Amino acid sequence: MREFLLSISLLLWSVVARASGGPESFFPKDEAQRAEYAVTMDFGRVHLSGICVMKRIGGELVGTLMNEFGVRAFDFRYDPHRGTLKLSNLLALLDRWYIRKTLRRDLQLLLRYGDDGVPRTIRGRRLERRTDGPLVLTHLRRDLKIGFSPLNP
Amino acid sequence: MKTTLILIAASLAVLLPARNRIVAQTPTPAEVIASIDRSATALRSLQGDFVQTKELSLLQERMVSRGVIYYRQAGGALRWEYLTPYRYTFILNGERVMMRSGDRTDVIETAENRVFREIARLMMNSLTGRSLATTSDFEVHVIVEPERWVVELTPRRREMEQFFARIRLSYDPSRQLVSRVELIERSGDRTTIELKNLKTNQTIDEGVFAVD
Repeated sequence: MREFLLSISLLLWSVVARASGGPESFFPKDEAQRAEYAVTMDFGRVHLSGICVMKRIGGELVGTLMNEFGVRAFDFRYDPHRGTLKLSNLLALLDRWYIRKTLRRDLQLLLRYGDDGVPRTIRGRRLERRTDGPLVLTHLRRDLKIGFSPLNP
Repeated sequence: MKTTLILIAASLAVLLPARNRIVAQTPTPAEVIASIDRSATALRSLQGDFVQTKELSLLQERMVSRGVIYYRQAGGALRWEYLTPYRYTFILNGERVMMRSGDRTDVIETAENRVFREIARLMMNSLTGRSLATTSDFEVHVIVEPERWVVELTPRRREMEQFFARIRLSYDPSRQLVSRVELIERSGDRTTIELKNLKTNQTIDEGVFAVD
């Protein structure tokens, strides 16, 4: 009986600890879960803004970035097991090798390390979750910044 | 029986000229464009609701958002505010743009950003019908139906082609206002914006377009 009560209390403790502990996931964790983000991109004096819709499909994170009126900028597909990201359907103005390379690397880092909320510097980029909500990736040697803010109902 | 026949004949006599009148009043495409352009020029302000449906084939989703639109011709101001499923506000006022979600606000200058400005201008013109008569950016095709006028815009410039394969604008002939905008992408995905409860030429509080 004592062992039974002990095991129940341990089970309850672990459930409570799991429910209350740890930061909430920034990106969709469960299959078919969807989330929307306001996105800002600053490349020097060029600013882009828009909305990113992301969904977990077949274990991958699949997303579309579009402007406020629904004009698509690009799609992406991130495989969390391999840590690889593929871009597709880029607007012609973004479809340059150096933009593709930068976007691919930045999004890989954001999706790979952005979930835990721990600030870190990696591959010349600073990744941090700001107190006002957004997850921001800043290039340390270039004037380039990408921010994701969750859109809440 | 005689009375019935007389009544039928009288009804037909009344209906036939009415039908002929409708046929005679069907405007030509050029008249439709001129009429839309006149209304757009006279449009000082517009406000109403919108329902935006975005097809996302990659995500196997149809995303439906609802919100409110405010437009003011003077100074070229537009407020595009999503109310559901999330709150997000986009305000274009002259050369400045503000985006607000939750407590966060971003303000950017569009002077340096030609593409950004062009898309915003195109959206404003699509929603209000401005510049259809004078545009050289699109091939314009008009379909006149009794209940609606449809204007199809096909981009002529490669710069615009990358955004849309086609834009289809549906107008309510009685008010000569846009009731539906369809943006069709090269991939076949489309965004449909339906405009409802539109009010025109009413005073809109300056604060609606405030960028701060």
